Amino acid sequence: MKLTLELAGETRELRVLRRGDRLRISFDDGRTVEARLMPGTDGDGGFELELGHARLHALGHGAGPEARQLWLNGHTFAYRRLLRVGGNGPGAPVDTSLSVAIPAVVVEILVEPGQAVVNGEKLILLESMKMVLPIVAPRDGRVETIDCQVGESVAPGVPLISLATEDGT
Amino acid sequence: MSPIKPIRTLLVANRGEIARRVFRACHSLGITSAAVYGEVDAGSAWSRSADLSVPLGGVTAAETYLRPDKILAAARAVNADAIHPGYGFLSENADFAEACASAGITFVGPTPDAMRALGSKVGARAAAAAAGVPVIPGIDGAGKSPAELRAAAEGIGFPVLIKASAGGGGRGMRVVERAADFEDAAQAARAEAASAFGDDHLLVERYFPDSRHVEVQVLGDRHGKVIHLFERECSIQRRHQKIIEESPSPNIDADQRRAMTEAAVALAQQVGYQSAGTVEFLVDLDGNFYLLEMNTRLQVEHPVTEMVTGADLVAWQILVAEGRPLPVEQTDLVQRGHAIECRVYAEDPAAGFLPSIGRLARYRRPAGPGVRCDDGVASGSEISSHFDAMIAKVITQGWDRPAALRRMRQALAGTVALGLTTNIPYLQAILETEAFAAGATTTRFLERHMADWRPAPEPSDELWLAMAAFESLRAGRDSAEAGEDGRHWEADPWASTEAWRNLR
Repeated sequence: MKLTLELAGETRELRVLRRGDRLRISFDDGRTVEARLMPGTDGDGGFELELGHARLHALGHGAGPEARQLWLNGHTFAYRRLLRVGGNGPGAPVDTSLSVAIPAVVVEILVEPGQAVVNGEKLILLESMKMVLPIVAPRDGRVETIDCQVGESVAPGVPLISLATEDGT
Repeated sequence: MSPIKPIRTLLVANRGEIARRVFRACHSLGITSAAVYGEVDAGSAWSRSADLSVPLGGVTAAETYLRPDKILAAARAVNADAIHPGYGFLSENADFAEACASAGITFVGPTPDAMRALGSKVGARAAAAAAGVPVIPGIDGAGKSPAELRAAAEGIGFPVLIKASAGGGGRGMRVVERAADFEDAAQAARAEAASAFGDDHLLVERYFPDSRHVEVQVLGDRHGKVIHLFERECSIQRRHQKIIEESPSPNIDADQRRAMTEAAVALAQQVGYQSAGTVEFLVDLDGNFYLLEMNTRLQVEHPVTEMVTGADLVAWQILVAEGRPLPVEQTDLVQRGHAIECRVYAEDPAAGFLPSIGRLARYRRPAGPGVRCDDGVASGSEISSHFDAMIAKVITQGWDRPAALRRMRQALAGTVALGLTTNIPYLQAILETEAFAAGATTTRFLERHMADWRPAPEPSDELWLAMAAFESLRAGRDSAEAGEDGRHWEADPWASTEAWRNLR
């Protein structure tokens, strides 16, 4: 998933790839960090992020579509997840990733990165509760990234594929 | 000597953390606890920790916790034989204490006479004079014309402070630097006092531009004994509201401590004081002390005293209200180590300390050795605009002040309150100042050391990573069955990582 985050007047684009408890987070300057995401031990929604030998303790809260608060290692920060940068005009980047609504297993990936697709085209087939569920292109576009693999168990809401629309966004 | 009248059911005429604090004392004494609650407090975390609860109906303080008739009806409904008023609300209302007595209900507090004798600043000054307790040079404005008052103010010496006799918490106070400004200021103060307190009675005192606020905890029983539980340093105040308190005071020595505690006990004895009370002193920068007032109730900051003395002030208040003698002698009490309290408020220090109203979505209280947290909230609590914005008191104790301070830093770091804005970052910043570490606390501490404070998140890679991780977690959670308020990972499919392939 692609994220535009704003903290203390600074805005950054980050890209998160998630496989189970593994995260691969890319900064907009090209650096990529691998981390492990685990539930905290208090059972109250807190989480931990393991970065090499270091461990971050955190608890977050989303107050709305964009407003966030994050407690991290003893300090609380307010930040925003920007869903649309620069207003609603054409060309504004949006979260273009697609996901599945229930836990499922990826059975087939029908497209490749860079491939042009049309509205309604099947992109990925998943299996859940003995049914096949397609991920369907919601509009014309081009496959940007594929964030899953055949055989992988995927959770609801986790981005599986990302589409760029034909006008370049 | 009155016979002992055991309390079986005690009703707490208060809300929030102090109500829960009193319930805890009841439970430790085997007394059934009863809560009363207004509509906004129905189902609140604190009210659910009582054995019994009675709805009062109504929303605002004036419709609920300030209504003696409703409180007494609630007490009858649960057959309560005692009422503890907590602090604020009806706690210093002598008429209410009298109404309780008429209804055959024990009021856990001083006698109405003692409350009346000390309730106004004028009465407190008279009692202090009789007990030989030093008071701030000043004059009683009753019946004096503005010109007469001004002449008297010149006698005291400027700057002077004009305050409402019936005021408190900083309301109705005003500083006058020059004689020329005096009459206008007195007129304005009189009008303000009349509208805020229904009483335009003014006092004029010498004003100390910088000073310390040190108070002595006293406790009396119905057998004529009064003890003290040493002092609390409460100089760190914002607009006369305390936000950090500690015991012992880092700014008084053994001789001053002895003189102040003796004065406090003398004052309490003078009025036959029979419960927990606090004698507040102003200490000037030369170390002279003067009586400010005596609070005839339990104080918000009582836990720091409990942490250093081992006392349970609320339980002892209840015991003496039953007519029992104080369970300890003065010589049994010592100050062991040091304790600090920080008050956590739902307010935004970056926006003029505006109260932050809404849902405390996620709350985690601190814990650990030497850490106490008195609160009345839980995750999901609504913070209403009708009541005080204090959500918790974090108290730490250590074998000396640096140890208590280290524990406080750790405890505040472990206090999580999301969904609202709180003053936790502001408190954390105070604790990081060199002046606080040095114990250089005066009433101007905040304006001197914190005036330029702004929340300054320093974006670090770790912070960006944690933000990204939270967004990823949220993306997984949003469509999960638990929905937006699914609080636990257990409700989240991501909790079961075992079944997942970890791709390298």
